[in-house]
Amino acid sequence: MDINKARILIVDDDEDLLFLLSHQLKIIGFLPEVCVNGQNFFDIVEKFSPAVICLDISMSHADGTNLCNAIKHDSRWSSIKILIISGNRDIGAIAKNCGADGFLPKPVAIPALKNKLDEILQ
Amino acid sequence: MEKKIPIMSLEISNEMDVMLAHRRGMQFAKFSGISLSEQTRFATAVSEICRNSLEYAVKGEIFFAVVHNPDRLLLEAVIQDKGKGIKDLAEILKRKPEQVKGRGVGIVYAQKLSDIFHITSKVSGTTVTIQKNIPVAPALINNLIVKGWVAHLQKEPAISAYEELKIRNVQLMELTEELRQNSLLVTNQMDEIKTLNAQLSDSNDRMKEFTYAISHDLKTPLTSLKISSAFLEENIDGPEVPVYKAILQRSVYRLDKTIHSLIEILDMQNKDKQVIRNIYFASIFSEAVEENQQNIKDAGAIIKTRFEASTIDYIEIYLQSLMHNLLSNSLKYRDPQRPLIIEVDTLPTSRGAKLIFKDTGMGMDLNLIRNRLFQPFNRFSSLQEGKGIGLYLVKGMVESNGGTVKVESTPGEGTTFTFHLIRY
Repeated sequence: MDINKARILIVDDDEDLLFLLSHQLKIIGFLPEVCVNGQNFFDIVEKFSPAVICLDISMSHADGTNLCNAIKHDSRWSSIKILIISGNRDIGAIAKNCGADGFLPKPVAIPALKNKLDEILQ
Repeated sequence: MEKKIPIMSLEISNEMDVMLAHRRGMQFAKFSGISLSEQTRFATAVSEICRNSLEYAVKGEIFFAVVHNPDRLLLEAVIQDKGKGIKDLAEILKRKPEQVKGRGVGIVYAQKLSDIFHITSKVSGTTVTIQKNIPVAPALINNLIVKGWVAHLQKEPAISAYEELKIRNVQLMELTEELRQNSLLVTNQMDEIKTLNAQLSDSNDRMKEFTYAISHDLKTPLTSLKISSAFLEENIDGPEVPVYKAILQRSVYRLDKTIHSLIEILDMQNKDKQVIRNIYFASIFSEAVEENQQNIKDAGAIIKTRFEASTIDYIEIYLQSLMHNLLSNSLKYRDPQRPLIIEVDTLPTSRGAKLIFKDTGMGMDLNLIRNRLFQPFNRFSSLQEGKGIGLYLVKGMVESNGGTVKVESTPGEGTTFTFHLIRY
């Protein structure tokens, strides 16, 4: 079950949500890591080497679309999949514009998140 | 007593006008009952003088009228121009037709052809009056009759291609003027529409921004609520349960806060509450201090005020909200390593007052957050809990009557807000 051991990096400015998502992903068999508010993002990506990054858009110290663009334009990280998770109503267009591999609107339910991650990792 | 019934006037600005004046002269003489030979004399005199006006003064104007004298009735044509006048007029009038040249010829002829002839000439212009006896009882020609003549002329088909052209020209000019007025009106309306459109687009952008912000602040805790409640439904015991419970409570609290903020925004927009008063800065600030008393005590904050402008006519609820938001922000974002000093100054300005609110708090890196500073629901520290609409509201209130907000901040030093408040 290679997929279920996939490394998932979660980036959000809400620490409660980071705790919940990482704990839940662990329960369903993924290997999660968190990045608070986009801080030290590239260091964490470098060290953790995630298969998927779950990325929030509106964070108080970072803009998720910029991070997504940076990842997608760096040859070292071109294989990393990006899933945009946001409450923004235009999430579909935003995800498309920044080259993300998928999106999931908030509020997020865990079964939906699992399905989306499985789909992206296929 | 002489009584004059005006018939009509014509402008003489080219040769065709002279012909028209001649024609009208013939017609009015005919209408008056003057004999054919006398009609021709009158009309010729008229056209001679008109031609003079055209030739020596570029243009002139002719006024036809019926004059009631106590003893007789006269048909009159007065031709005026604004030329330089006739220098040797007295000389000319004494001569016989065959002895004069130039302008004098016409005058001498006209004089001969008229029953009564007057001419006055100055450097500012020349006026010639030509009169012809009307051989009917005065009672037969009155205002009504004269109106009938003019009406008759208007009804008759154009007497020449030129006159028709001229009528059309006048109509075209009227039409052009009307179009010009319309186009002016349309331009003005377009400008108005453009302004309104810009305002609408502006408020639309603000609305959009606001909706995003609300959805963000509602949906993030909602996600937490959803996940934690789902987890707690299935897990009664276990080491994570207390953490999930705490998160659930926090999420509910945050949703509650957001909803209260929305209510506060709606309240601010309630016109009934927007009462303009002469407000003392000292008293409105001390209300805010009162509200935040516990936090001030906890922070050990030192507050210095100097209200050089002591009052302003302003919407009371706005100033209350402004003072409260600034003070609670300063207390919330204080630097735990340094004492918090808050200085509030006001200075009178021509249009109201300048309010300077300075603190020695954490400060902000404006390069990073300037664009989002005044947006709703932005919190700039994950350590602090805030409702995040304060600055958004403050900016909106101050700018709603043309005021401005400026912010300067250095991380580790503090923040200064400068407001130009415009009195209502």
